[in-house]
Amino acid sequence: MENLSKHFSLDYLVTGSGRAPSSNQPSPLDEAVVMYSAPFLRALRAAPNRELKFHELLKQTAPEIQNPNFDQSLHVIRSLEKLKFVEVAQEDPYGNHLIRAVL
Amino acid sequence: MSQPILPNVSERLSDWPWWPTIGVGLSVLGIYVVWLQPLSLLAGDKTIGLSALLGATIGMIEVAKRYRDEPLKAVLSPWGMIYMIINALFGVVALYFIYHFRNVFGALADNRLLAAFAAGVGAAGVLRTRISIFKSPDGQDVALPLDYLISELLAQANKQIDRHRAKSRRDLVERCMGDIRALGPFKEAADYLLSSLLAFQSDQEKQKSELNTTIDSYEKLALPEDIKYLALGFVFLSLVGERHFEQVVKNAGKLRVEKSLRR
Repeated sequence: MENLSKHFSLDYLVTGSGRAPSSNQPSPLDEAVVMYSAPFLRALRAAPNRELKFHELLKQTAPEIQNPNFDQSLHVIRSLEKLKFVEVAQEDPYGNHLIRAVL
Repeated sequence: MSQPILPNVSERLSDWPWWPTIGVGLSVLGIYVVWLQPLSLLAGDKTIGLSALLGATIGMIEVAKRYRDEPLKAVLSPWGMIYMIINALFGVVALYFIYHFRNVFGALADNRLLAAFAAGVGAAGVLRTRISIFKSPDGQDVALPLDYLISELLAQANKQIDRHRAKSRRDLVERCMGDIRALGPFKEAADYLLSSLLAFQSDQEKQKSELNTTIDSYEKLALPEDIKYLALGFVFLSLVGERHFEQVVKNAGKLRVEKSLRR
């Protein structure tokens, strides 16, 4: 009986709990990262093979991203990597990684 | 400058959920042609509206519950509407089943109001069911996933509603970003926004503490300040909804001015 009520119940509509799948709404921080990174993504998508070295990427997006900071921009790229918007195709010991657009 | 019409139309067409539309269309047509030809069973039956309404309402609640900040907007978006209409159709088809298979449903089919209620709610229940039908040799439950169609439709609806909302959310945050920055350094801006928000809402203590935790975690991130301000905007936008967001930001600005005048 318990199983039946579990299978057929529409309780989750009322209680907000249970099996109702949640939407894939991104977190506010993810939304912010993606919005801020629009120039990065545009530059990568326009590049041959959709990839650029990190320094070149910073150079190309400098007019659009005010006061770019190397370390912070690298953190942005890492965040984009976690969100699967880009991948670091080749690591560079001096930070000039090869970045490729995934999406 | 006015937007060109043609790209908008083609963009809308490419965004249109073709596969479920075609799928549902073919299903309805198939059911009609193969099985349910005497649709006259439903002709003149006003309770058909009740079945459809119940089905649509359940679909509406499902969508609205996922978008607590803007439930109405989500429900009235193209995909929210499609999801509701599909649910309404299921209710109508279920009602037809009840009348068509009178010998199975017995007295239920004789009471039109009860039949309509059972069809609307019953279709919703059955289509959200995953029944274990037997155990496989390795002891696993083999399930009949009746909920597959609805889950897929809901996942598609969610995806499209998210896309639909993302642009308007970004535009709104971008429009208010100057005002948010003008509130001062990140933490100060967050405090003014929080004070402004609390003037709008009750049940504040829990929310205040959760917000402070989020804001503190953002402050510590090694990301550009611009991202932190944007994230702050999205946090408050999610909390108050698109209708009140600009008002909350404006109020925060007023609070800042009042505070500086008191100094």
